[in-house]
Amino acid sequence: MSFITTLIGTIAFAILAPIVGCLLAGLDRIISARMQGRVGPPILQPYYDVRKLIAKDNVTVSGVDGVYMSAALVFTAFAGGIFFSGGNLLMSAFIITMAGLFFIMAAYSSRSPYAELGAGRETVQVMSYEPMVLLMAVCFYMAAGTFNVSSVFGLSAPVILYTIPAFIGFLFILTIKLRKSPFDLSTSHHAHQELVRGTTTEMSGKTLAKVEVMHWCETVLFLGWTGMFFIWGGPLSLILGIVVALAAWFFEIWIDNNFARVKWQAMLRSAWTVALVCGGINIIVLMLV
Amino acid sequence: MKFESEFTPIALDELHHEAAVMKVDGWRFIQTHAVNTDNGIDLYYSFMKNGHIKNLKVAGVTKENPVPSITDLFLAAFVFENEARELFGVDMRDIAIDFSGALYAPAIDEPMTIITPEQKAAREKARKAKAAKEAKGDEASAPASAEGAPRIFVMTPERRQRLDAKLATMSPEKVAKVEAALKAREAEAAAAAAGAPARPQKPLRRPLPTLARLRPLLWKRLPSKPFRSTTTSSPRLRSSTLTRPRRCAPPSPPATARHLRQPNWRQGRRLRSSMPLSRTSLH
Amino acid sequence: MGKKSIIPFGPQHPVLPEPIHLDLVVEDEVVLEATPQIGFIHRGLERLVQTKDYNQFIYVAERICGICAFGHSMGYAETIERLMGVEVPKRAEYLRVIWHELSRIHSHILWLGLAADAFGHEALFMHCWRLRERVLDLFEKTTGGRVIFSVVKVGGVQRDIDKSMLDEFISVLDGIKDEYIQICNAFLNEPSVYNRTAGIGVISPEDAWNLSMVGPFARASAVNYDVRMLGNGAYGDLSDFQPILSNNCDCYARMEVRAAEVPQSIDIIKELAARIPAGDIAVPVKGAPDIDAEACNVLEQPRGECFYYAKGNGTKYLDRMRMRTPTSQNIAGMAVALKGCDVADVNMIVLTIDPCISCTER
Repeated sequence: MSFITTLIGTIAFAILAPIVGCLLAGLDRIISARMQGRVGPPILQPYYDVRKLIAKDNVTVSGVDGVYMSAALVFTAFAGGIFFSGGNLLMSAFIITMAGLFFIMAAYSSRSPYAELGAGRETVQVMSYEPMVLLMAVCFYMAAGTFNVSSVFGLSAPVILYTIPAFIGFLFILTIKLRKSPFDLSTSHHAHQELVRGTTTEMSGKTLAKVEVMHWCETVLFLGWTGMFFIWGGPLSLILGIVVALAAWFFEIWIDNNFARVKWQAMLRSAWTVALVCGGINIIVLMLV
Repeated sequence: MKFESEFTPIALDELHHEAAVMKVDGWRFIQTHAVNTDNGIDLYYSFMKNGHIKNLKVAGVTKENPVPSITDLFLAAFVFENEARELFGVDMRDIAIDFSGALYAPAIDEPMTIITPEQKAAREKARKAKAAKEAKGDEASAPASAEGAPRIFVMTPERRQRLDAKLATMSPEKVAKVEAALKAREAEAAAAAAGAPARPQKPLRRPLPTLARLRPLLWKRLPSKPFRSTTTSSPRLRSSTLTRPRRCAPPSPPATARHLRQPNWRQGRRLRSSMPLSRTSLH
Repeated sequence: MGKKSIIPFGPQHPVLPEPIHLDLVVEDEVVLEATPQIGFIHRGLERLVQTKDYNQFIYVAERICGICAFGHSMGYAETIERLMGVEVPKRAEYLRVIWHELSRIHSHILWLGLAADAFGHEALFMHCWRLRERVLDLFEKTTGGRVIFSVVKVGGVQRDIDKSMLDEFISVLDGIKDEYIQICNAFLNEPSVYNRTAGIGVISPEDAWNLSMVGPFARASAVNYDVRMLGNGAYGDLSDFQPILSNNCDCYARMEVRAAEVPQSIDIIKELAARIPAGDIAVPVKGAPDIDAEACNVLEQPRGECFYYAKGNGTKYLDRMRMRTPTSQNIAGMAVALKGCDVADVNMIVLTIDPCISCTER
């Protein structure tokens, strides 16, 4: 697509995705709390948290992690803009990975043992989910004929009918990407893990606020990828896509509350097995059909 | 009381051998602790087997006696031996995991060997009370007069000694009163021995007055303290700076390296602001 | 190869229940060695016997630790009773054991919640602690306190539990038991939990015996020892008591042993409540311990065997009071178990000894 469309998409994403992501994060916390027998915070609690974080003093070890996180936010916005303006799916996947790499750099920059261990684990996480993301994009290409997301509106049938194994594999690694148990190794919403807070241990104030906003935008983007499989023909199928995305998100919350954390070896092994099996089978089937 | 326990004294040089015997015998190590006594530190090593607790007691360990560690037999003892060394000053040698004084790192050395003066006084009093009870037990079996005769006060040499010690601290009028009472009692005893009927004995002490009756006495006895102020008589300064000397330097910081010294909050404020020093600061 | 780094674990760490410091020498997320260090919460409570008389000190003994509060007050009172030769009425003994077993239930449910938190299952943690609230409500109804009860005194107990309250006790415990069995199912039959706990922190039975370990930590390594077997106090009136052992010697076994001790405690409470004799709840204790009188006592607290020693000196202050808590014994076992584990397992292993560092350091 043209550069202007992408730019408009990026700016729209940068404004709307944090709002939607914030509401989703608040709902996440309330639903998790109800599952645990608690009441939960108000729905705008993530917004209050980010506002408080922005108002805090800057007490970082080295100021460079703020720069890295700003870069990560910018790239996330780009990735979302590309996707939601109908651009190249593979490009969107690469750019969001780039944002993840900036996040890892921000964690390494503080030289604290917890942050270094967390950054190491985050690297392993990226290594775990990247193969499946790429295979998912390849299966989309084989089913739709192009990497462009806008092409789904011209299809006669949703992509899901040709990519069920890849979709299942993608749901598996969605848990890793959304940082939910059992794969919340590098940093979790709850500080009760062995690495204090992993990658975000030494981040506070505005940097941590950027991490939160990046997480919201990522959530919206990945749910968009999930819904994309179910859209075809006219704009009415958008509703189906949104419903499926929300169902997948609820499914992730349910998994979060029902599993203990795994170690990185188990995560790597299981993610690659799923990628090879689901993605591989799907590609072979699509090549033969 | 369904388990038995015993306390067995042993000597310091048998300690390691005894512990080894216990281990071979299948006793389980419970703990080690130290007790501070007047003759040094007593060390207790507790073992258990089949519901029977055996405490080996090594009495009177001083700083000159090094104690061999039993961590080569029972590794779990390292916590207790480090503790005994830090809190009691016992000279433990060859502990397997040695914290070198950093287990608790107390601010005072050997804090458990410090006994407060009130405690010392209370213990002395208890010891004396027990000794007195025993002595009284001896005298009760001493030669007594016939059945039914009133108790005769006999001035023994120890009693005279104790009385003299007490009298030495009292004022001369009191000493005269006590001597008069003693003479009266001796006369009474002599009269009783001679066969005259004894007077009913007065109770030795008057009951203590209640606080209500004492209170006016106390008020009268309080010395009137003149009101003193170290500075001017302005009301604000009187209440806040009564005992604090003005304009003296704060205690100098410990001799740490300068880059480790933290500025206190007053210095920090002063460094940040460019206003002149206010009068209420201590500098 | 990876470089060695030293990770400071504790004393302030969100996953640690108590302040202990471990310097983990780590290479590529494998712990090569771990040196424990304590001393952050040493309050010198054993020194305090010199200024608080033996009746007042029971309040200090309770506050050594929040979780083992009742155990310490009961152990201390029993030790002083041995020292002075006081015979406590039967009803008081029964009441003490009922409260102590309830304390064991609350402590184990608390520990299960912390273990769930340690391996990343926050939902289980919340459910366990929500269940524990019901146990704390029972405490509050009968003693007036949720954590520190102040209900034991030298010579007996201060409050009674009448028949209607005991029946209510039993019905609430039955309700807790049902939900508890469901939660245990989530702990013991769940593959993700099993992966995090099986084969971790193995201490063989010979090592467990040589390191003099106590409590569920040792019973999971097949050390057949539980002070309740000795039949002290009302424990002697139980019809049958068998300690719960396991042969697996790993973190999963320790979890199993603690999880199974809770229904056992509920059964003990039911049995004693049915047979509790009527009578006084306390005898008056006068005077002071004799000079050079000594006594020692053991008690099975939730964390293991706790040893008490008291020495009198004729005054109302004790000469020496010693409380050796189970965690002090188990630290050696922890140091041995930590060698060669993953960083992710460190907090699991530290938690499975059920550390109560406040008790260790007093």
